[in-house]
Amino acid sequence: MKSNDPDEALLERVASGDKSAVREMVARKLPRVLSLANRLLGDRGDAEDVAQEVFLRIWRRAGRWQRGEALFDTWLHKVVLNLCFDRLRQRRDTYVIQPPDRQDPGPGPDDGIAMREERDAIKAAIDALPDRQREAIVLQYYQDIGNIEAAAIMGISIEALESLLARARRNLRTSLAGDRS
Amino acid sequence: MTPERFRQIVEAYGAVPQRWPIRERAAAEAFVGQNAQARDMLAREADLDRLLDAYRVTPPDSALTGAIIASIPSSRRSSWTYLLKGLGIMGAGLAGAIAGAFLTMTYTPSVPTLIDEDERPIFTSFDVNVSEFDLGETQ
Repeated sequence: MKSNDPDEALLERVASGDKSAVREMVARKLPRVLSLANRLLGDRGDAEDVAQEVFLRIWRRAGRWQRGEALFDTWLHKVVLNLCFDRLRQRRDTYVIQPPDRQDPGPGPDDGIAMREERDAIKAAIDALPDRQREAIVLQYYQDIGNIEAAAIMGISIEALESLLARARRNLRTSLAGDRS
Repeated sequence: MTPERFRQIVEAYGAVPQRWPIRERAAAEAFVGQNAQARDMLAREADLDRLLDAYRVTPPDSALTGAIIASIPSSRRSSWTYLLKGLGIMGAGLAGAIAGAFLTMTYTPSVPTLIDEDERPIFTSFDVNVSEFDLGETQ
């Protein structure tokens, strides 16, 4: 039976130990993995560490992948989510509030102060969201994942996802309105 | 499409129809065409969407890509390799402990776990409900 998973053939090549397939997998998935981890953690250095761990896991587990109902990309997002959650928990366990190790550089020097300020404001508002609301909005809005898949990744119902999304957007609007006043 | 459901959709997914649930998209779009309040609601959510779009993440550079590729082991070791290596180290640790028992000092070696969580055969198809962490209830 032909697979409807666009990543399955590449995953099989990774499983066979084909290093060129690993390079292809990194090129294909790293931007999305990094984008997700960066927005969930709010720290570029931590996000890069997570990305590295994710690709090691793909390498280790590729041989045991069995075709199921979910897509490889769904599993990938779940792994990133779990690794980020673990890091956030470790941060909280230290009871020390420290600035992130490394900020994402974001827009370049030619992009203007207003654009950078706007970006910083929305980043701060997203960082301040409760974890589950942040996960919901990052998956649905920034990763462009459909509601059924996003709910599956988070292990919740679609109704619960919609509730988290609505609360996240409401909190963001309030937070950003406060910044402007 | 009821007004209440339209409000729920827009408040959750924002102003862009491409982000709305696919099964309700056509009905929601038709609802906008017939309802001025719906258009006001869309405009409000579009303002937030525009702000969200300002949060861009710098794409990975070639240094990170290269580092990740370099971190992948050059050959795949099987779980048996990990197991045998683990047993070897455990054996060495045990021998050391026995030898240490003849000394007046007590020495308890820590045995590294070489079979990490990734080596567990969890890939019996993909089960999104299997989480390595308790993500808790919805907030």
